[in-house]
Amino acid sequence: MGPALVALVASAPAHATEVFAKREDVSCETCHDNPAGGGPRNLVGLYYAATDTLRSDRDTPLAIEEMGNVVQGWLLEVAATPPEIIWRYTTLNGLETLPAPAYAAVTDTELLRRLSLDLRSDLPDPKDTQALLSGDTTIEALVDAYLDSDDFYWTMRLYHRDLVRPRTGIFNQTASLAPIRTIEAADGKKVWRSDYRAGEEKRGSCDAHSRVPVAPYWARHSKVQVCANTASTLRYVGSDRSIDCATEQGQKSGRCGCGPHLLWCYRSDDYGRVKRSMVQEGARIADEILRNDLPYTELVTADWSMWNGRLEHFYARLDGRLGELDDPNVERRWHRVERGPEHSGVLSTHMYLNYFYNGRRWAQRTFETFLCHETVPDFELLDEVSLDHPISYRTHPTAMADVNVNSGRACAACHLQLDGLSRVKDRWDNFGQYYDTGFGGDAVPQTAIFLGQEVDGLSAFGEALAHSEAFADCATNQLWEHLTGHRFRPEESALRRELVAGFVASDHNFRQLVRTMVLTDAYRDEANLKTMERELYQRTMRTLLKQKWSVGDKDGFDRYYDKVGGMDYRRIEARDRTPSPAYSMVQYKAAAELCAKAMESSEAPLIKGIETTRSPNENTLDAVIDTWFLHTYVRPAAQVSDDDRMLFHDVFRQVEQREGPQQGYMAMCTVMLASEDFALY
Amino acid sequence: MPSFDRRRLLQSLALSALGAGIPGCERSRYDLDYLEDTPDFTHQRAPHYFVFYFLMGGWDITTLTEPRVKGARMSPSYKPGAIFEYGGHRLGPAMQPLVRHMDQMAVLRGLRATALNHPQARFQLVTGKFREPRQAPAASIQTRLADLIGRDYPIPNLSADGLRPATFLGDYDPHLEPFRIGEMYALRGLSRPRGPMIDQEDVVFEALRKRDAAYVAKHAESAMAENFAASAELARQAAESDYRWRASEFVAPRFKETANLEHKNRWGYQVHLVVEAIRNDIAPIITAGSGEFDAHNEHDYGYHQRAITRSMEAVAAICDGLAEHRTADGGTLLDRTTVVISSEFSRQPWINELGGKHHWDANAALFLGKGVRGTKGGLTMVGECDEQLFPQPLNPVTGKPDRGADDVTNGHFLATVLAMAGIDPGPHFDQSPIQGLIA
Repeated sequence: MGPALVALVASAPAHATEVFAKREDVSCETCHDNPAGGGPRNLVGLYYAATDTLRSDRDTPLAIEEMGNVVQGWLLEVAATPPEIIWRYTTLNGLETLPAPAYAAVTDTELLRRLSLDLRSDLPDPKDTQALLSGDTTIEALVDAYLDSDDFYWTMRLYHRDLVRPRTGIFNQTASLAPIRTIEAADGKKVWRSDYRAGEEKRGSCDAHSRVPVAPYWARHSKVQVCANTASTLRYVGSDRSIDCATEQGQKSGRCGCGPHLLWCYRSDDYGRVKRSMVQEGARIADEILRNDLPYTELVTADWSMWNGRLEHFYARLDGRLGELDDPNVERRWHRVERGPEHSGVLSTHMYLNYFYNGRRWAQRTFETFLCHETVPDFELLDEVSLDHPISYRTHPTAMADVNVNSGRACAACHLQLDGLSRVKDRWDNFGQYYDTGFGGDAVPQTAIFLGQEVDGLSAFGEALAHSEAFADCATNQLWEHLTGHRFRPEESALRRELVAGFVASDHNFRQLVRTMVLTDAYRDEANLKTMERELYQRTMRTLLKQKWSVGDKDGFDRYYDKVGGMDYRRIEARDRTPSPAYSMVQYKAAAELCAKAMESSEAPLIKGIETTRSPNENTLDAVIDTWFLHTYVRPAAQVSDDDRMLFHDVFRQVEQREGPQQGYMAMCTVMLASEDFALY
Repeated sequence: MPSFDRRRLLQSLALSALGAGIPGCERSRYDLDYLEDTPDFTHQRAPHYFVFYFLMGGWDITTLTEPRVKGARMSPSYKPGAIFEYGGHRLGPAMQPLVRHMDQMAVLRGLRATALNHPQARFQLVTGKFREPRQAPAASIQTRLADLIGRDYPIPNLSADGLRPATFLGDYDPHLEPFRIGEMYALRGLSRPRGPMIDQEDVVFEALRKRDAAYVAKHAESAMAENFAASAELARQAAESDYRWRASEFVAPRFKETANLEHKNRWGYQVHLVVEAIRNDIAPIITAGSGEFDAHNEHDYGYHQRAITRSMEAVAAICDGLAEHRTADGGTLLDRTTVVISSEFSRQPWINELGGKHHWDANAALFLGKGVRGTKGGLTMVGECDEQLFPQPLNPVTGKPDRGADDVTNGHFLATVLAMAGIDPGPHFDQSPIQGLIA
C-alpha cells in the first residue's frame, strides 16, 4: 500500500502560471508584480484569484476600489478557513512488510559494549563485564542499572537536543536591552556602566565618591563598582513617572539605571551563556519526563517548561517581566516552571519559537522532529493533493494574513506542507509571546485540520499530535535509529508495530520503550553497526586514559570533529555518523596523542599497574593485551583471536626495539583506539 | 562519472594492507618525484584550481551588482552616492574591494533562484537540483570537479566554511568526500599527531590495516564497515603521502587587514587557508564563505552590508594572494584559478515588517580568474534585472536579454563553471553554459 496522504481536498489550486496569461490573453504583469509572472500578485491578480474574473475596466479608479474591497473580504474569508495540515505519512497498517530476517546475534559482551555506549555514552565498567561473564548478573539487570544511571539521562539529553536541533543565533531585537560593560574611571579603576548612560563618567558619577557597590545578577555573592546613574534602581522615571526602566524603551530613553542587581541591563558576553542554556531547554523537558516517568506525550503537551537562572532572566526580558523578577540568580539550577494552559511543551517554549522564528520554519522543524517528516518539494504530493482554497499565512500575529505561495510548482510543493501547519502557531511571535488579537484588533485565526480533527491553536494541536499514531511511531522510529543506526526497514515493520503499540499502551513511557527495544533480537543484530560520535570518543577515551584531548586552549574534538564532520548541512546540525577520511584522521590523532600522554600518567586505567619502562616478558605482555581488550572492546581473553594477540605482540616488540617499552605500549594503545574495531559498535 | 563501488574499495583495501596499491580510487597516484627538485612549489598538480566563495543565507544584490536608489519598493542600505561606476557599469558599494581585479572578472546578473528556502536553495546552488524526498543531495559542483581534476590528490575537496560548507558527495566515492577545515593551522594540526607516535607510524599503520581488513572480513555484509575502512585507509594514505609536508609548509598570512578582515578572524583564516592550500598544492577545489548570513530582521540586516563587504574583501585578498605567487610558466596562481562567488538567493528590495529583508529570487554570480572572459580596463557583465529587481530571461548563447528565452538558473551557472575548466557540462547539467562569461 502506498503512502497515505493526510488531508485531501477537492479542486485545483489557483496557480498563477503562464497558462492563465494565455487563457486570458494578457501579459503576466497584468496579475503579477513581476512582468515575467510568478511571485507576489498585484491587486488584479488577487482579484482574479478571488473571483476567477479579470475585469476589463481594471484600470479605472472605481474598479480598483471595488476590487480592493472584494480582495480584502476574500483574504479575511481565506484566513478564517481552517487549512488542512498536509504531509506524507504512511500509517502503521499501510507499511510495506517483509518477513523478518534471521538475525546474527552479537555475543553477550559485544552486546554489553553496545548497550553501554548507547545508553550511557561510555564503555562498560570491567566489573560489570566480569559479572556478566561469571553469571553473577544478566543483560536485563545491567540494562535496568544503566537506565537508572545519571549517564543515561545525560545521553538522553544529548539525544533530545539533537532531535530539536536548535541552530541559529538568538533572534535578539527585543533582547538587546542596555548593554553594561566596564570602563576605566578617572582614578584608573574598572567601573560598570550602561551603554545608554554613556558619558556619565565625564560628569563624575563614576568617580570614587560617587560610584556604588552592587551585587550584580551574575554574581550575587560579590559586589562590583557601578557608576551612580547606572546603579539607579528607580523603576519609573520622568516628570510624570511614565518611563518604565524595566523595558527596552525605558532603557533607551537614557534616563534609567540598571535596576536592582543591574537586572535591567545585560553583559554582552551573557549572549553566549544564554544561548547555551536555550539550546538545552527542550532536552531538559525530556529529561524531566524521563526522570519522573511522565508520559512522553508531555513533550508536546506540557504546560510547564524547564529553565535555569539564565533563562529566567532572559525570558523575563522577552516577556517584559523584568520588573517582577524579584530574586534574579543566574546560577540557579534547572527547575520546573509552570506556564499557562495555552502552552504545549517544547512547541511553545521560547527556545523553539525563537530558533524557529517564523511559522514556516517552526512548521518545518515540527514536522521533522515530531512527525519524522522532512519537508522537501514533493511534486507527487502536490499532484495528489489539491486545494480549493489557498492557505493564508501571517509572518507575525499582528501582521495581516497573506495567501500562501502557490505561484509555481517548486514553491507550492513545499508551501502546501508548511502553511497549513504554521496556522496553529499564528498567535505566537518569535519571542514566545502570545497574542489573542492581531491586525485590526480581530482574533487571530489559529484553527487547522489535523488528521481530520479541528485543532484550535498550539495547545490543541499539541494534544492531538501527542495522541496520534504518527507521533508515537515517529518517537519510536527515531529512538530505533539512535540504537541501531537506521530507521525501521520493511523487514522490521512487524516489530515496529509491536513497539509502537507497547509504547502507547505504557502511556508513552519512553524509558520502558528504550528497555524493550534494546532487548529485542533485532537490536542485537551483528549488522547494526554505528560510528562513535564526538561525545562518545571524548568520554570513552577519557575513561580509558584519564586524558582530555586539547589543542592549544581548545578542546580537540570540538576543534576538529566539528570541522571535519559531514557535508550535508542537515547532518552538521545533528552530529555526523558517516565515515570519512577526515573523521578517521581525527580518531587517529586523538588516539596517538592521548596514548602518548597516558604513558606519562599512572592514573590511566589502561596503564595502571604496568611498569611501562620495563620490558615485559611474553606472559606479562599477554596479560596486558587481555586487560586492554577487556577494557577497550569488552572482549574477554578467551575471545581474543590468535591473530590479534600476535599482531599486538609484533607491534609492541617492533617499537620496543626502536624506542623502548614505553613507546611499545603507546603504539599498542594507538592501534587499539584508532582501529575500526574501536569506532564501530 | 563513477559511482561508489564498495567491492572495488574492498579489493583496494586488501591490496593496500599488503602494501600494494592506493585504496579506493585507482586513478589516485601521489607522484612525489618532482617535489624532490621543486621545493618552491612552482609545479602544481592540478591544471586548474577552483575557489568557491559562498555567502550563505542570501545576499542583497542591490549592494553589489544591482544598485538601486531609494524608491517606493526599493530600500537600499546605502546612500545614492555610494553607487559607483566601473567600465560603464553601475555597481553597489560592496563591489569596491574587487575593483582591482575587475578586468579578470565576469558578472552574471538575472540569475533566478528557483527555491527560496535555505536548504533547497543551497542544494540548488551547488547541485543545480532539488534534494529529492528521503534521498541524499546530488553531487555538488565541487565534487564533480574533484572527480574530474582532483583525483591525484589525497584529499581533493576542501571546505573552509565550517558552518555551511554546501558541498555534497552524492554517490561518488569517499576519496572525494569534502573535507571541512577552518584554517591552515587546524589542517596542519589534523594532518599529524603531536608527540612521539609519529615516528612509529609505519608499524602502527600496518597493524591498523591488518586489523581493519580483518574487521571488514568479519562484517562482510556491512556497508558501514566497508565504508569506514576505506575512509580510514584514505586518511592513512594522506599521512603517508607528501600531504603532511604540504600542510605544514605555509607562510603566515600577508594580506592587508581591514576593519572587517583580520589575519585572526574566521574570514581571515579562510583567506589564508585558500591561498596556502593552492600555493602548496594541497587541494584543487576549495570552498570558503561567510557561514550564516541571513537578514530577516533589523538587527541582522543592520550588519548585512558590512558582512557582504567583508566577504568581498576576503575574495579580493584571496585573489591578491594568488596573484602574488609566480608559477614556473611565468604566470600567477590566479591565472590557474577560477574564483566563483555567489549566494543561494538574494533579498527583497524593500524592508519587511521586521525591519530586515526576506528572500528574493533575483540572484547574481561573480567569476574571476582562469577561464573567465575578462574585459581589459572594464568588467564583463551578462544578464540583467529590471528596475524592480526581477530577473530577465537571457539567451545563454548570445548573452543577450531575450523574452522568449528561459530563465537563467543554477543549472546554467554550474554548466558555465564546468565549461570554464574546459569540461563538457552536458553529462552533468541539462542547461547550457553562458558563453559570454567564458574566455
